Amino acid sequence: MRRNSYLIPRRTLLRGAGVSLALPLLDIMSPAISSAESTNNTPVRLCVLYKGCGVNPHSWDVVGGTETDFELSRILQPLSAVQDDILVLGNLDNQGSSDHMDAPGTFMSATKHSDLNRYSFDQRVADRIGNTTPIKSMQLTADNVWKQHPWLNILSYDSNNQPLRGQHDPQAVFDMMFKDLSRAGRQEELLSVLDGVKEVSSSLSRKVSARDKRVLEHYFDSIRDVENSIQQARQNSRAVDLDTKLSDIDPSLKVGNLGERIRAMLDLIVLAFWTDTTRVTSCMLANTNSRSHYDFMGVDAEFHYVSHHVRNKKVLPAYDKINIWHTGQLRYLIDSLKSIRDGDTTLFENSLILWGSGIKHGDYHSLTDLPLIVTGGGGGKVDLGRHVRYPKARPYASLLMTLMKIMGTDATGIGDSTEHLPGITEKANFESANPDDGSWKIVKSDDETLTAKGLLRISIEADLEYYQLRLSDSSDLEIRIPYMNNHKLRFDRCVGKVVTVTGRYKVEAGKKTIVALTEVELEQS
Amino acid sequence: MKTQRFNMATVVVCVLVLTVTSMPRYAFAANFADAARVIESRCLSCHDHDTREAGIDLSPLLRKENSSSGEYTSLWIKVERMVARGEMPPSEEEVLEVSEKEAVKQWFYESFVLRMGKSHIGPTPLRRLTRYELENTLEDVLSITLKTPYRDTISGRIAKSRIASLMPSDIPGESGFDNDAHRMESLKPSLKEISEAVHYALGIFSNSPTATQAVLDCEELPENSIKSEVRQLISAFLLRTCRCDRMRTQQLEDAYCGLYQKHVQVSQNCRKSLLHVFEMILVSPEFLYRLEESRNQDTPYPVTGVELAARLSYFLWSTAPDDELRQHGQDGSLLEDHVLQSQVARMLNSPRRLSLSENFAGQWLGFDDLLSNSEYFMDERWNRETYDEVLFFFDELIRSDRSILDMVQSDWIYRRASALNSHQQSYVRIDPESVKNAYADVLSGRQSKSDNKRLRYDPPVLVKTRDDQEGGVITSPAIMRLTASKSRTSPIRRGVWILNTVIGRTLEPPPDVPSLEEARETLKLKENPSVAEVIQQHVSRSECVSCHKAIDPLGLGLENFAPTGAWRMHYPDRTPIVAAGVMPNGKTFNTPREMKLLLLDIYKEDVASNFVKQMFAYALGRKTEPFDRVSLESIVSKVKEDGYRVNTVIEQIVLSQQFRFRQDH
Repeated sequence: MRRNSYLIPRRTLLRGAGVSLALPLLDIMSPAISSAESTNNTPVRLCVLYKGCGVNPHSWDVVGGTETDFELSRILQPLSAVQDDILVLGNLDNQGSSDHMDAPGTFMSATKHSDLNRYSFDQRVADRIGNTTPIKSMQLTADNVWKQHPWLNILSYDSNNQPLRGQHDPQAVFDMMFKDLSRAGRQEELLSVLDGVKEVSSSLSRKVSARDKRVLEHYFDSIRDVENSIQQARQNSRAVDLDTKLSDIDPSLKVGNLGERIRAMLDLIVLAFWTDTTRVTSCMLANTNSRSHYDFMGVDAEFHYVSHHVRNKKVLPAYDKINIWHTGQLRYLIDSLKSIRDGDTTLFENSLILWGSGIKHGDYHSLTDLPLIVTGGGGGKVDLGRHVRYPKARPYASLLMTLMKIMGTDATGIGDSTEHLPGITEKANFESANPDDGSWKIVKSDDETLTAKGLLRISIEADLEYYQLRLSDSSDLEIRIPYMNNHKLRFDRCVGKVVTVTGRYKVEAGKKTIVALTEVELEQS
Repeated sequence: MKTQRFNMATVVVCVLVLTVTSMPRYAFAANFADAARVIESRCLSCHDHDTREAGIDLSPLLRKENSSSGEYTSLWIKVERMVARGEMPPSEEEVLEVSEKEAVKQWFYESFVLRMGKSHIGPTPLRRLTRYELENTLEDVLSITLKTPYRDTISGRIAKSRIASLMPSDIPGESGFDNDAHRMESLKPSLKEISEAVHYALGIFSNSPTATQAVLDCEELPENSIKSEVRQLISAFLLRTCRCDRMRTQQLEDAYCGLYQKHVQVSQNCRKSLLHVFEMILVSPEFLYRLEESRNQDTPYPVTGVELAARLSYFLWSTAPDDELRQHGQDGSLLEDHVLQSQVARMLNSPRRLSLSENFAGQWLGFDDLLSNSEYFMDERWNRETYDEVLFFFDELIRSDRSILDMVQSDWIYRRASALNSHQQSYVRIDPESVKNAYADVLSGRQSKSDNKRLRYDPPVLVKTRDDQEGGVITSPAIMRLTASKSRTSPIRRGVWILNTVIGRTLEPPPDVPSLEEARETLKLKENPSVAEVIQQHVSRSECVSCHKAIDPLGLGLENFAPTGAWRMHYPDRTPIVAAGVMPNGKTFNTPREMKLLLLDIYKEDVASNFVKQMFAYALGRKTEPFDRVSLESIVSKVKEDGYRVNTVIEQIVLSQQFRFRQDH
């Protein structure tokens, strides 16, 4: 863990004196916050982190082990020190759209853009619990903003299906959190300005068309939004002396590259939760068509380019490297939240974090078996340190239902689900999905080809063409096939399942190894 | 109807446009049954409810009630376009007879271009100021500077203005531009962001003696004042900020004076209360929206002079009308063609026309990304230089009224100052004195103040192209960078960009092709075909070939340009570059220049009509619709007659019915 004390030393406070950007924002801010009276109520905060472009399933999937004793996959390695603090989920399928533009919104609502029901789950939570904090919910876009493809950049949608643009500039986020509406007297002044505008507008009628009148209603809705948010800011639980202290600090957030911006956004999320500025936030770390280069971490390629790896196998190491780096950022967030006291426990315990991508396979854009991690204690409600793979595919939307419930927002339904998901707040204890009935063996074999049935596995040390078929006698039949053979059969999708395979084999050192597959049949469960 | 042409620059065309637009193109009535018969017999075998090739089901079009605006409009547009261009039926099928083609086109024209046999302009959407327009407008009406200094010195980053960081950029609509009224109508304005921006601007205004002098004729806002003086100040402020007629301004003046009185009784401070009222004015719908008086009509009627003045100045300048334009609006003279035209000419002579290049061209060609999207950031000098080369190129098209086609290939360009100075390359400057004079105003705000050579920045220079490597905007470093990844070029990406952006060809991947997975899944579940069959089905589709035939040569022809736009003969791995290819018309090229000339041979008309279409959409703040076709065709034909000159496009758009009229339903 990066820090193990709750209190950050005072020496890190660099008030006013040309704050260096090398220091994480949290270090700069912590003395001010730590010295303020912390509030007694310890609400649960929701954070959604979206990382587009999917994964290479081979590098993501956790195979074997039990619910509580399992080996992290290659992409999950950065989380090894906090394995007890995460819940890795498998076999949850989404509906909606896996289109580049549509995937982020689909992740948040389990609907597609054209469904006109994009009210995202974080906003459903914010509408319920966001009215006691200065900011109802905070949307962040850490990835570069692709203006010409607007939906790419947007995760959250409000109850009227209005897209909520993410703030992209960390400094502006900081100002929004601690400066804008907190300024002394500004709230009253703005309310009075808006009162005046309403008065003039209603007293002077104008010959506008019925159509224009409807458009202007949006304007007056927006006035009401500002009024409501000011009301909230007035009653907020954030201590007044904290506001005064924070408004004095200028962190001069000049962030250079994408990596620094992502870090700054994560710092801001922690800061927002810590100061109870908001309890709901969503952050776009990478969109699903991200043309952003990861050269800051030594990958000289666009994320989206390397995610379409099927016809271009040589990009796979770079693809994994970026995904591993992203998991590392989740680790950073977990560490930060764990290092901060919140009531009787830590901020981590009182947070609920959903981490994931809107698609599974970076090239196929599949919506099945999404890569998902739930972390944060959820106020003690989430049972962490587990890997739950649902024996039968479940709607991903059910996970959203459960997350909303943990956040105190019991919805009747979202997307294609009206049910909660078992195995989140309690142990799943699923029976093994693939019981060995003694039939896992080489079924037939001639001089060149064989057919065998067994449980397909991979190992994280193995290279990408290497699979093992576990047989009933506890031996493993090796499968080493060319990449395109794997891809054409979508073979990696069968990992963790019982399959019957037919293919050409070679004998090396007395052991049979399948070197080319011709047919793959999945056991129907 | 034939129209005789007069002197090109001053021809009065409005009357002619109106006459043309009110005339249906076809002398006889179009017949639904004829069109339906063609669709049924020639299209449905591949595109009925069951076959749905490329995901397209045309069977609903056989119902006459689906031939009016609504759910099936876009499908009809697609069908008409395919039929008119001869792109469907596909080449292996028999081509449509002329009469079959005409039957479809005529029915479309009757149903979607005309309404009840008459041309119309569709309901006029309500325009709201974009962030860019708001920043410009606040600067002008308050006589202050909000944008970051264009370039004092070169630093390590591109600084954003305070307004830009307070307000995230607007979401572009289907027109491709962020001033799209339909998009803006569908979204709530964020009054929190707007009011913070306004508050910030007023803070600067009230502390600047020059600004208050210019706007209110006083060096500072008075702490104490008598009633009549206050009325005068509010009146002066309203005059600059509100785009409405005198009567309306008077009403507003009364209302705001009342609010002032109420406020000052509590604040006991004139200055404070005045600023309070100014803030109300600047966040009021009157200021943020471009409200127009409605006559509640479903046929086009002219807007008032004041309204036209606002439309014109936001089109050409992205800001509020200046005094002269406002005056012509107030007295109604702007409604006369010759006044309107002379105002257009005057406005295009003003440095404020640079907004067209910044805002219109910046979004259309996408080069504004060089300043706003950090993915493209190299260092401040490089980004500014590449941005400015295109910005000034585009501005030169307007300043010197050059041809649209120069965008593809020209014998002049703007070249970055650092390239001229550092390498002593033998560039010939074009008419340096005239450029200097013409840009005196523009440049004054953009000249570097630093003497330090390393920090100094000078704007690009108008020069003659030196060799085959230069010319046009599509091979500028800016565009070459924006259409490549940082580390490698992609011929497909560049080819698609040219087809989409410059030629105006909408390329849609056929919906069932890209997802190999889905194709396989469906096939596997249904018939269990072999993998080879699936893959073959995927790559050998005729749809792929027909588009890639057009895409690939355009991109391959630009391989000599590295992602930075620098000329190269080899790839980084030392393999030589072969920038040769075959255009869809069978002609071959061996250099980028040859490719661009062939591009013009084939697509000249497309490039011109796409330019018109893009600018038309930007001017109106909405995407073009079938009912705009009459105006668009008339503009395009005038532009063509006029040697594709850019200012003819601008003038013709301003004179069009869509620009000068409104319609409520």
